[in-house]
Amino acid sequence: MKLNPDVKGVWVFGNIVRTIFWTILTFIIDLFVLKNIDSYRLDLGVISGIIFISGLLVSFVFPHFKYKYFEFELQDEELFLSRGVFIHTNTFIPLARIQHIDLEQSILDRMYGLSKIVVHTAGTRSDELTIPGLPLHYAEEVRDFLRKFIKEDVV
Amino acid sequence: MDNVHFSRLSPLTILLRILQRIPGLVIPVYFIYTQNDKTEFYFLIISIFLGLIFFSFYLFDFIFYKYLITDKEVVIKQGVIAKKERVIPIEKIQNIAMEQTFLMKLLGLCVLKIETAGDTSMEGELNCVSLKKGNELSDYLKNLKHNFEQTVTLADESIANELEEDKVNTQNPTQDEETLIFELPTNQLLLFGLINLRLTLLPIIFWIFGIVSTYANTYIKEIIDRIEDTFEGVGNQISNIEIALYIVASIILFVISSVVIDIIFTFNTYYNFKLTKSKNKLYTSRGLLNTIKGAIPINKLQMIVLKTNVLKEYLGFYGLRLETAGGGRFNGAEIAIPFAKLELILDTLKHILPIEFPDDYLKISKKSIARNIFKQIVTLIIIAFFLNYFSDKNLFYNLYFDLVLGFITVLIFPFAFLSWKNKGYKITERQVFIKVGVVYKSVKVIPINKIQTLSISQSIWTRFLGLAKVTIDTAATSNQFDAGLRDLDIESANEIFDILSKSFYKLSKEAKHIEKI
Repeated sequence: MKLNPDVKGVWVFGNIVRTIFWTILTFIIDLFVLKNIDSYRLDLGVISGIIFISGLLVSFVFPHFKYKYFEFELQDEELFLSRGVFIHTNTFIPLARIQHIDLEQSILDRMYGLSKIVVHTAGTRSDELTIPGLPLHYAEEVRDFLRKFIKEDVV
Repeated sequence: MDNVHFSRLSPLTILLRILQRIPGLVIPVYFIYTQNDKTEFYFLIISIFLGLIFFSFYLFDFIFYKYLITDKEVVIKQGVIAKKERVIPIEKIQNIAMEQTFLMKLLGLCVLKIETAGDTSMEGELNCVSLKKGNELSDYLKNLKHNFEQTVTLADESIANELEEDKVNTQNPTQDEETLIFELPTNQLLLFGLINLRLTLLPIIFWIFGIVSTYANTYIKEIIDRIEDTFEGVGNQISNIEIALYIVASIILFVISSVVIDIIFTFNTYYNFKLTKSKNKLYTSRGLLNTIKGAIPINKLQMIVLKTNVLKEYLGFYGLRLETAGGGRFNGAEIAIPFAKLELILDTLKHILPIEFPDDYLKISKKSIARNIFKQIVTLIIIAFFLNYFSDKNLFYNLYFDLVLGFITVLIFPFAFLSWKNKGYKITERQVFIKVGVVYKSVKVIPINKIQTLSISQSIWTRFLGLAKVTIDTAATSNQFDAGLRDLDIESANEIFDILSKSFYKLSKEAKHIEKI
């Protein structure tokens, strides 16, 4: 299943915010640290400019690919996740292994009425089992489905 | 879900947060106060403003933090701007702990920690509730867990069994018979330390060097100057052969002292090593100066690792490490057999888990060699340029630097081939075997029914080569980086993925079946 296309907007926004953060940070470093180093030859603001422009480019282009490669499939006994642009990963999660479930909403998510589900297993590398860009009511449905399943499986 | 049933934390929490904040404010307040004595008024306003902001943060945190504890699950809702809702099923709770700091004691509060087997940061925490409420809740949860344990039998291997065992052990420690299944004879300790091949001295030397160079920089410079002064005339008299001899001698000295230290360490750590077995738990006990005891619940076993190095393998000696879930004292990993002949280890393993090690392993793709060589050479080039950038002279004109670079480059090729040759995997009905390592070798055994998640991933570069990586995630916490198979052909990777997911279901159905009986 594909994610809700609105999630691209969330990612674009998030990336822009991040780009601005890094631009300001590098500018501050430029102003207070790099300027005082003699062997540093670039003009003030060059690095932040590069970061700003390339960041904006990436901000608008990358989410499309990220969206294109993100798929999930909720079946009776397992959850399949398929994601990643540069490193593409398919993950198989037996539902019986789920330890707990988080439903998260960032401020950007809320502007679009979206939310993400984070599934935790006892495994060590599974913090990344996140399904972003689900409409809130649907996310709640999924959460309740998963929750029921955990109970049934164990007792 | 109705909001009516949700409860809030104790209101005193806000006061506690403010009180906790005060010590951190002392230093900045002191500085501002002593340096700008003319701007006291503004300072007062700013501090009141900041205080109000902090207060409102705490207030909103408090208002938006709600929890609900039912007989099935714990739900925690939090977040003012970014919302978060966490659901922890009761049966997944591993441990309930109550904590109190001094301040909390004064205010009659406590933190209720609900720990699960997942990541340690992912657990539920009620910070803070009143002491009375905390006691009530923890009793309630413990009761629920207790009831739950009685209904659960074989299938849920992870939590319930361990808790039951713990109870049995605390009530009647002598009830279970403990049988000795392995003992490390003292005379083998010497051999063990001798061929351990751990360069224990190396980090120690670097450590000492680091300390000395930071604290006695000028002193060292003086010494070096003095040495240079004395040897100014002598330098020409020493021949190259002599220099080479000195280098060889110091390397030999280094290795010998390293081995001696290793022997001492080994003696201290593994003296009087015993592995005993009760009904479904293993106990280890070892140590000369401190006796260290460990317990391994057999049904919590996540991974078994058979370890050796080139020297040990040549002499037929191996070690066995067992990994369990949960970050305990030893990060979930416990040495079950430090050092023994292979037959003895296999015999002992029969008491723990019936495992047949395969004779032949399947190979990973040959493209792995090319990929490794490429990767190492790129890394080497980056390091070389990095070093060159930070040195005063052009290092590439230096003969010795070039020689070392060439030497390493030549070494990369056989090493890549050997590491391919030593890698292998085998999937049987119940276990996955993964063999890795050139100098330090190991065989990892992962029981298929302990798999948590299964991933197959491809980077752009490996996709181009038609390779893929399969990651088998278990709850074993110590060896998190290499419980996977790199550089498989995409077809065989998909095949492994299918086989593993199918046999996972087969085994979990079997477990359910046993449970019903």
